[in-house]
Amino acid sequence: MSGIQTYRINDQKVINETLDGETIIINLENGNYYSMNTSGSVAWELLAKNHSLEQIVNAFLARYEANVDEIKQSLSDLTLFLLNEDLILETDLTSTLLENPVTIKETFLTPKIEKYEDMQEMLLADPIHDVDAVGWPTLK
Amino acid sequence: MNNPLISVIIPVYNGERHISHALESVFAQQYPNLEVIVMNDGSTDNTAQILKTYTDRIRVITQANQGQSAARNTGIKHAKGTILGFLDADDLWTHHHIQSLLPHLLQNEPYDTARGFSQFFRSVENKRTEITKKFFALELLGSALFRTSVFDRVGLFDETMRQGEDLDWRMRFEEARCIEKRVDATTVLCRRHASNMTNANEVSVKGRIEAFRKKLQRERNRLHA
Repeated sequence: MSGIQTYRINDQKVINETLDGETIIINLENGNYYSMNTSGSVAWELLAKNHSLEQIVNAFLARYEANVDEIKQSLSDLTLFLLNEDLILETDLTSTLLENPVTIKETFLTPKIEKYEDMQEMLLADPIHDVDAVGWPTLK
Repeated sequence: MNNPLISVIIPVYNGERHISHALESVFAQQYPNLEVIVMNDGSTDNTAQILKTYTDRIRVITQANQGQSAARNTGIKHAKGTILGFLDADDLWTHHHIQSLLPHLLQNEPYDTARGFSQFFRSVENKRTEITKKFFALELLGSALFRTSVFDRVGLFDETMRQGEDLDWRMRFEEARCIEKRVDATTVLCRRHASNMTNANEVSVKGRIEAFRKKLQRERNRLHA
């Protein structure tokens, strides 16, 4: 994993949503699902926007109160885990990190992801339903 | 008690195109003890007029549009049967739906639900084509029959969810350690439209993730209880 390698979400296989700082990721191919804490969700969002590990480390340094080695190690571990789980892929796409001026830095919590395998059977059997805005199957 | 009363709940919202086919597929079961409850959830098309032609065979409950979960829940509350079935207004039960599933829910059987296979189909000018092989869809309501008592243990459908409520219910079913008999028969045909054969749309993705979020929350609550 070099510093300039960038990433994207494996959206052929993965659905995800972040709400109140928690990201839920579901791998529709193997039925595994994941929950990521707030700082993990921040990293996930940056990975999804084709940023490199180095860029994400810089973004974390600007945002959180922590030493550089701690941030580097935890983000490197997280990225490797996401790659191994097939949730993100390497890409040639790049993007510029937007500067986000921060006055007071937040306390750093190590990005954490929890993996669950207890719903594989149900997910793999799950057909896709379509609804319109009022919550009913769309009639075409 | 070999022919217990089965209540079939069919929620419908603007379903004029297919509701007759859905109803006929239920009547085709030739089961002597059926209660068919159609929940008309504020349809603005000709659904109500079509339902009037069946008044001797169905109960119609009309409510303002509240969504599928609320419609199903109201249906469950009105149902008199000890066994419940569900059918969406554009889907079809296969003709042996009850015959295949009911034996596993008779007295002395240990199961809470009995489920067959589902199959997607497409219909063009009333010519039906199966477009997938049969598959088990564990949260699909139409492919199963339910003991009415299972809803006391699992609860009703979550009316705050516009999508993913069937997956949510199924997760709670597992958590309540209910048991299901799987039957080797195709029991429901689900209509696919040109627009819904490819990928999940945004709404259904959100619904499914929401069901998982709720499941994780329940687990955390249990751990902290």
